Amino acid sequence: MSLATTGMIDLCCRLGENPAQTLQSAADLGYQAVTLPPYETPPQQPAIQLVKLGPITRELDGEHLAEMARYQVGGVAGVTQMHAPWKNTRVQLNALRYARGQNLVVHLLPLDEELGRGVAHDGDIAQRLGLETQPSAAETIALARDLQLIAETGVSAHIGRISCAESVRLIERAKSEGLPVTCDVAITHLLYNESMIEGYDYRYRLQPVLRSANDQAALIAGVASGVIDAVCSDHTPHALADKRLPFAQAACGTESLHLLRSGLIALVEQGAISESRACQAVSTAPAQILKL
Amino acid sequence: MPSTAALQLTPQGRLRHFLTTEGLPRDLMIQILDSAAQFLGDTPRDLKKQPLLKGKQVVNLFFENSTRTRTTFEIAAKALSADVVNLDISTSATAKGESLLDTLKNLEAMGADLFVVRHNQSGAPHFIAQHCTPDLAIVNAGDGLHAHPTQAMLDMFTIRQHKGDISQLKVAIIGDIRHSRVVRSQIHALHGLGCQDIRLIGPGTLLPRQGLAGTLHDDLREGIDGADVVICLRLQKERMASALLPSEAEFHRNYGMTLDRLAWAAPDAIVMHPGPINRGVEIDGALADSEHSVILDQVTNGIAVRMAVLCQVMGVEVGV
Repeated sequence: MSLATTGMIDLCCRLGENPAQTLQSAADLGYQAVTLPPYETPPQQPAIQLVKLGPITRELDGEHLAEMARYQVGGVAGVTQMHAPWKNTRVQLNALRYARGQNLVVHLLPLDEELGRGVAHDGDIAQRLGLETQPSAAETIALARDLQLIAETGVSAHIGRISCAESVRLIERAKSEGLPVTCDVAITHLLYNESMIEGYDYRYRLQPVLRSANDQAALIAGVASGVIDAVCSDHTPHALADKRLPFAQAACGTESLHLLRSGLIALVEQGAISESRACQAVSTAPAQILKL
Repeated sequence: MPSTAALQLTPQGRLRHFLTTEGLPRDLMIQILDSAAQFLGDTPRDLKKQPLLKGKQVVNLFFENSTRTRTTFEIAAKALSADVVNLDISTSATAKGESLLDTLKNLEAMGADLFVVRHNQSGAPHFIAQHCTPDLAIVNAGDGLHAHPTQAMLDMFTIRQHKGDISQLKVAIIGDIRHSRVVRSQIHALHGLGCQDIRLIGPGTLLPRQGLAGTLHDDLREGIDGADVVICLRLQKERMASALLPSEAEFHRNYGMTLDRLAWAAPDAIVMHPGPINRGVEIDGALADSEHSVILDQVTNGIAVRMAVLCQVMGVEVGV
């Protein structure tokens, strides 16, 4: 399998202000299909295959269960709360239990609401720049809770966009214990680390935040070993006016459709990931996760 | 993108903007301190006025209220015969749809030479310096938790005035280190001037985990032991609301500076505070009013130091 020609399947792509153009770019870059989070509005005639995720709570309010059976009939590949907070753990437990009954895969993006408010990794650089920090525990506390609830309910789950070494360890342990979980990482977090925010570079204001070089290395190793099943673009286009702002005010996310193939090719060339594993991570693995 | 330290210098190494004390070459810091000394008169609280910035327009662009800092910049600019315009732009105005960049472009059209910027977002002056026209100078008057470089330089001036060579001193800073732009700038300035012994003192919730030069102490006595300079920081009331401290009273019991506790420091130690002080919280009234306190000198020196900084970024030499 050649990474240069593999048809890619993306686990997360937001459409931005110009959905048709985003999807045309995806098609031109060799994506076969992209997955849309809830409430994205695709054009009438998309350039490529679209896979949809439904909300797990109504309007992602974290409080009331969404009509998951209706979404299931509508052909969603799974349901998700994205980074929106849960009102409480009881709601989350119920939502996972209900999703299991509907035979839906739950896509979870672990992030503690309060600790997740920080805009940069809790390391030297954020301290120096005076930015509000987000410790890795913002992710791992939520991930540990998610894994407990997955074990409790038996729901099949996909953990999206992990960002730190400890999360790789938690996923590895969960898999070794036989939990029905898969996992992905955004290409940005394989290519960059916290050093990119030097000079308050708003382009690298991401959620989850870019973490340390050690975390980056652990994520790459996680993809190489297969603990992290898939790599996605997490493409998030914003109007320049929403992005070109003082760092903490800049909208989260960046345009990254173009990075997925080229970034993985670079990692393969560095010898960090095998070509077959990289191909799998953007094609067969996401296809299995999405049941395509 | 360029670091803030790089952005503020011209290719020739002159100060183009004044955004941070981090990475600021020692000779530039010394130049600021020496120029500031030229502006101080023979008696304390006396300033020599010089028409060095005649015909220049200085705009105080305050996105966050601060009457004291704004006033000292205004006095400094006027003492140099600059024209001064004060603009208080609440951040809600930019939240109403006009981006910071749009605001900036509008103000540029007014023909200013220098913006003094105060903003609640870390990096906002950096952002403005990056996007403004090349002939405009930016002076950071405090940004978020990041930096307050003129405050740090006036502190260095005051320390040098009272204690001489900074590289030989033990400096203790007490209070909310983690959320203080003043401390970040002080640490970089002290470090740049060769200070080897910087102690940062406070409860764990107010100390940084890493990333700043200096040793961390949660014990006041250990932290100020033998210190030549003791800097108290203003404690913000919000720290209690966000569960970082139980009460002002408990902070005072553990970290409040008093005349008695100053005995743990060096015998001739000086006590500083960036102001405004909370008497009975971070510092006792008796200590603030004692001969050890140099707090009012800091205020006077602040004007002279700001005069020096304004001249430097405008490329004007201060005559001896």
